[in-house]
Amino acid sequence: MANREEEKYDEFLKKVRRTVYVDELTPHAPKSVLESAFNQFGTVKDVRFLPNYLGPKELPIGALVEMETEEKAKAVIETVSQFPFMVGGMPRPVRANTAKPEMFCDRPRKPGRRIQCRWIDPSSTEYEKAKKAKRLVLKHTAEAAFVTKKQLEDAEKLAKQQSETVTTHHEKIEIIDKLINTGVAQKLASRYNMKSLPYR
Amino acid sequence: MGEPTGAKDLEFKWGKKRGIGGVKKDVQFYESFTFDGDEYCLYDCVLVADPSEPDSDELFIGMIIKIWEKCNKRAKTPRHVKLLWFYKPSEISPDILEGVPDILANELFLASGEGLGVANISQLDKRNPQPTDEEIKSANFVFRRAFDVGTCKVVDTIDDKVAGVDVQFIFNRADSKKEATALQKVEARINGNLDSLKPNGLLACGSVRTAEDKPIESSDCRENSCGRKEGKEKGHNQLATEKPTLAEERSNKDSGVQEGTGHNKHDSREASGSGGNHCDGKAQESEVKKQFTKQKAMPAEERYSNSCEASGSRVNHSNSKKAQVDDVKKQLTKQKSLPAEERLSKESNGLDDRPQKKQKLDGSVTVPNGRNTNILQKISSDGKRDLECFKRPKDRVPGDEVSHEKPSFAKKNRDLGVSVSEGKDAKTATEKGLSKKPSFDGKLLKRAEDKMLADDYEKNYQVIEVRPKPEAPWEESVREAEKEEKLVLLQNLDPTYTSDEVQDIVYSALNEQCTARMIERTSYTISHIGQALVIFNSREAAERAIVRLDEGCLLLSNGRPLVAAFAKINPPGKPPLFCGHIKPHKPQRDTMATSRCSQPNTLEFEMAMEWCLHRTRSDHTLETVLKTETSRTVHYYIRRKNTSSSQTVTEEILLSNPPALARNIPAYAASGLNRTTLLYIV
Repeated sequence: MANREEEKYDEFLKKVRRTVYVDELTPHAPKSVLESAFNQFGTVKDVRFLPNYLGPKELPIGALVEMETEEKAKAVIETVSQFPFMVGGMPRPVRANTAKPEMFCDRPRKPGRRIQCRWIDPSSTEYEKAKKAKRLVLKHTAEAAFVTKKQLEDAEKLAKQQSETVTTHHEKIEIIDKLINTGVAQKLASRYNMKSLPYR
Repeated sequence: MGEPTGAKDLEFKWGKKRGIGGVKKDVQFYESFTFDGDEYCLYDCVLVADPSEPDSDELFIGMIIKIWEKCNKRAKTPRHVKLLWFYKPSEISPDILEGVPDILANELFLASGEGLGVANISQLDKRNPQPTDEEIKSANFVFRRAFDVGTCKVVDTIDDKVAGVDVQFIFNRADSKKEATALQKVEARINGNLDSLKPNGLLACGSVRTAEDKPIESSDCRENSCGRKEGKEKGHNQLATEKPTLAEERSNKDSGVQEGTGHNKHDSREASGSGGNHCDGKAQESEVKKQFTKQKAMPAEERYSNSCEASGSRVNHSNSKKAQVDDVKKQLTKQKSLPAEERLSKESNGLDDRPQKKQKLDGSVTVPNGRNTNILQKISSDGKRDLECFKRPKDRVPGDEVSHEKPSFAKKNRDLGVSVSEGKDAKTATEKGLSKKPSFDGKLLKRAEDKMLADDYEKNYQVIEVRPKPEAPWEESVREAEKEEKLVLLQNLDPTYTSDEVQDIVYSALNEQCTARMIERTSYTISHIGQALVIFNSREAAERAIVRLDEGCLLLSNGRPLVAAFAKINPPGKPPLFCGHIKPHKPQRDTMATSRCSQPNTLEFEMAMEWCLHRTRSDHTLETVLKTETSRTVHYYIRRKNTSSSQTVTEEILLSNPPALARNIPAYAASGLNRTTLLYIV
């Protein structure tokens, strides 16, 4: 009995090892886009998105991409962390990491684990400490939420800045195009005795 | 079962007349017709081959929604049927299917909407709609969604009328309830006798019981799908490859044993439980589970025991409805998803009226028989997990099961799979309970089961094959639970706990049934605080749990006090714009850019690097904050450790990681986070 459970758990761990946790995904990329994106590295067996129930809505999406073998998964992580890899848009790259068992909500029980719990007697000294620990947990969550919020703000700022950069670049290129197309550039070149730009 | 060939001498006979219509009153409508020995009724599903491609293996699934004959003698093809099409996923363009969640390979989509492709009129030429064999494997089709041919979309809701036909005719009918009772009683008696022929004494009891337990579960899952009739999913057209006779047999057995020995309370409870399920459709699973626990079932029993037989037959009824589909699928000359009432009673009558069908059924018995027993055995071996639970102290087993099932069913979920395996588990548990009896022998039992099944097949009962239930739509239930304010967020769990374990904890410590789901760890969750969303049965239960956890302190095994609060989850809807993706200035096609790595000499690469920097920075911030937290937590643990003996791996890990606070302060400051703000929050 226990063996069977262990087997199942081992099987699960193997699955975890050949899975890549992909983060910083746009929520607009459907499963098929992800699949085709990672099919470049090897056959994708399964893609599932991790739901975001509690965090702010604007958070990037995370997904678990199960590859065929552990090696393939490693290769994906290596490539994606070396080169910026775009999925469903640019220039924000995605990030890949090893998946953790806790990322699977349907994970099997760890074999042989027994869970115990007890109610603390309100009169004992432990009680106050436990209360304190509870407050601490809430505090931690609040802190983490704050950090996340801050991060999102930063991300937004960066995105705005980048889009401005792109727009400026674009405008510049358009001006140059215009100059070349209307022949102004060539006129100027001959006027100043410079080598003319090749006319397109 | 060969393909009917030799079209010319095939028998053809009209059935019951229905009415006269048409412009000149020259069209006679019928309710049924007999063709090559098979009777086709209105709202039957048929497999239709394309006459223009006689060699093609592809068969289309359609439902007969009209049958008529033109009385006009000059008409070349006087006989007609109108078919409403079901689409297989393979028949729909993949582009349309994209984005439709969880399409099963054997799922069917009902054609709906306006346009070409909803319904066709097929000439009932003698050669024309010839149902053909198909391998038994493919006998399982699920129908729960419709495909709108007008807009080319897959829709989850089904209009009240499709091609002028009320959907009630398309779904299994709810109105036929009490037809089969009398007959089953007769059969029950037969079965009762059968039982008494088996090895006598306690052993007989045991074997009977397990044989009953199994079918009950299968019938339960059947019933679930039936119960869903009321639900919007309409997923009940799920056709398992098996024949419901098993269930029939089961209830027969129930009544048989009841009549015969009168001591089998358990059985009556089972029957009544499932009856109850059928009645209220919501508490189904919980009721059934209760029977297994033998503890909480008393009220249910009282409520339903007198209606045992009736409910049993009702169970049957719903099953044999399915059965017809399955059974016919098996024969594969004809598929009937919508039995008429008369038909139903006929079928349960021993099929005397339709000998041909019966023969075919016989022919197909052998294959499923072997397979079925295999499956049953397999499932029972799956029961190991709950057996373990059973070994655990107190009434763990009920906790496990009920907590799984109940809430999900309140939401009309579709997780048949869980129910089946759970049911099996429970069965194993029951077996355990029974094993106190001296002559209880697993092998004998198994043999008895097999024999039972073989008997079932011989008798042409419609045996249901137990199949895993499709995945539960947690999404839906969680939304509903939030609306009803019974959704609770548990924090400070060990992140390695599984959802099941959380359910166990809630059951053991708070004595409440719930459905739990661990929140997956992502890069935005705190890695050492496990969170879980828990759906309680009611608002009161949720409130109770929160108050208790707030006032008292429940210390988990690794020294974590549990924190609970009402959960607020993100409303569904369109995701907001994703910042960081720039739309191309020259609008190209509306497709997503191909995924690729960017080259190091582009602007894109530069910007990507900026993002990498941003990400690393925020990672670092989070890490730093978490580390300071961890250090505090560790501090707490150290102090607590003096008073408590429970120390776990987690603590050890925490302790072996000395707080990196001091080292990280510069980075912390550099990360651009306003320290005073943070401290203020702290």
